[in-house]
Amino acid sequence: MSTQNSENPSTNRRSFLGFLGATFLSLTALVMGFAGSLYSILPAFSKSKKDTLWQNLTPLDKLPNGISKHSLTINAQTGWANSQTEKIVWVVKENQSLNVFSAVCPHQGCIVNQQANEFICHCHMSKWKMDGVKSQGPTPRDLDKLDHRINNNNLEINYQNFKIGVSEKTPLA
Amino acid sequence: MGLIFLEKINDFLQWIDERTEIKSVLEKITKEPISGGTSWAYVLGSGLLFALILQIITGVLLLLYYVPSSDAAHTSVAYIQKEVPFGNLIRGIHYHGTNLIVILTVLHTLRTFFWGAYKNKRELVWITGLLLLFIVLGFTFSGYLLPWDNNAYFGTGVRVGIMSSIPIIGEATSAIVLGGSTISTLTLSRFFTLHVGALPAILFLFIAIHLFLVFKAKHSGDYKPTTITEDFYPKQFFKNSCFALLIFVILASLSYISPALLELEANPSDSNYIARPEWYFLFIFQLLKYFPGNLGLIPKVILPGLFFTICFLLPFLDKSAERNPLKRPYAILAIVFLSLGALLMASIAVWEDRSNKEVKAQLERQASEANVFLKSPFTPKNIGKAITPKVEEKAPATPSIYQAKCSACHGETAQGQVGPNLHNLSLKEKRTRDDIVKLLKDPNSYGLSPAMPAFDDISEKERQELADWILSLK
Repeated sequence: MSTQNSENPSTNRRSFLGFLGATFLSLTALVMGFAGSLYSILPAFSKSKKDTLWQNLTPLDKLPNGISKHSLTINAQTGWANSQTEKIVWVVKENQSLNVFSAVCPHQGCIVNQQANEFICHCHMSKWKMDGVKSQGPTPRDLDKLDHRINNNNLEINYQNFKIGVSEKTPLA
Repeated sequence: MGLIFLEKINDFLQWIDERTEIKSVLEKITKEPISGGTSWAYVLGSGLLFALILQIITGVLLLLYYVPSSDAAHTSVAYIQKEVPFGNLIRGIHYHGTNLIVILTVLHTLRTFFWGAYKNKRELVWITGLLLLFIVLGFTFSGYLLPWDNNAYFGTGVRVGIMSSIPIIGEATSAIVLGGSTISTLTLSRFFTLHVGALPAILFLFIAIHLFLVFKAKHSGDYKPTTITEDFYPKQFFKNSCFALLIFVILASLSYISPALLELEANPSDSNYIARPEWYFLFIFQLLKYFPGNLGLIPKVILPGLFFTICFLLPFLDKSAERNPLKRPYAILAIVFLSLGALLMASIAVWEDRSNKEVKAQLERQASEANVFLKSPFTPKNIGKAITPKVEEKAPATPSIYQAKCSACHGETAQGQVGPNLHNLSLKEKRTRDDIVKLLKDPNSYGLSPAMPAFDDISEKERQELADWILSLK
């Protein structure tokens, strides 16, 4: 056991022990920091698992002419939960043509509503014509068309989310 | 360039020091003299502090995914352990850390006792230390329920049952703790609030007071009178850091060798489930078997109460300056006797469980169920209302009578042309179904503008059909 404040000869040893001690503590901080960061960050980038691609929207013969509003339930695993969220889509039936639009405004993501023969987003007053082509306001693009198909006389759609605020329609994973 | 940079840092540190005098504080801590020299026996306190900091870090990380609600808590914990990267490590450290902190708290207290470190104006250090022991027990008590598995549910049931058997105040206290008469989701919220809100605040306060008092009283050092002293830094610092690393390695390895316990989700109707206390309460559990009925208060309340009263009063009861344990035989013998007694009781408890065939089989079944559950893939919980497609309700087929008689003025989809838009009429209070039927029958009496012609050739049934359809337009 050494006596009081040791002088020169043991100065190196002193600083070495201090350095080693600090290294041990830093090591635990480093491991915890690494594990804690990945633990916090990675789940944010895991793809949410949508259970089905094509979803039944409505029987064709019940589809009115013009614009009609429909809702569907999206089942997806988000973290520990299988969550069910309701989404709105607009179906436009004119003569032989049929289009399905996402009700999410491509500008900032508000919900697009119907106003007579047009679509309007009341957040920033963007407007689209019945065929989804933008006519007015700050929206960067037309309404987002959703893929649809006719199966067994039912209208089925593949619901997707798209990147907002850009002029190109880009699906989100 | 480099020199200028170093100078800048130096200037900055100087600037900080002028405002905080941090240098002199650090100097005081590092130069803290330890009489009799540094020792591995003194690493326990700092080890405890290190383990508590680990609990805080892992605890905050667990909060990121944990949900304190009886229908989601268990699933969210399973999610952390099975799905989240390093979730097993984070929860493992938190879970095993609890046991380690209980061990370290007991060892730290025993060390202080054997070294007579509560003597010589250190009464407040001793008393705040004991209060911290109670805070730690509060953490284990409140944290126990949070995973909401059978172990948590039934274990908490027994603990609160013990609480409610305390005369006079027992029943009211347990009702307040439970937030009702039984363990419910409200209980979970209360325990959660205690565990992550109230207790940490009290813990920080008392750690600060405890450390302040430790530095005020100076390190107690060796129990033998000596003239030799050593500075805290670097040797004691090095020993403390080694111990901290050891703690971390043990906890991290344990979380992989033996993952944190998560039994099946709490099932209050499971009458087969056998609850067993944590190892540190086993001796009380065993003692309870020997004291039937009201006598149970002796091991549950009276003995622990007496023991801790003596503990708190110890510095005032034992005023002799003698610190050498060899020269304080009665005090040492009392503790050795109590420790051996507790150990004996705990061993008998384990032995009795193992020699009872039914109990043994059930406990093994519970353990293997938990094991199978942890290894099975994660199943998410369904949340949100199952929404049945409302398509039909929202957009029913247009009645043919509308197409024939109304669409010319109101438009194909009733969006309005000459006549007004018929959507969202249900939002107008006066436009009830009967009102619309009446309007269709005799529009002139309504004085509408633009005027609406009367349609005499529409039947009452068709008017009702139209009214229903119009009200469904959103």
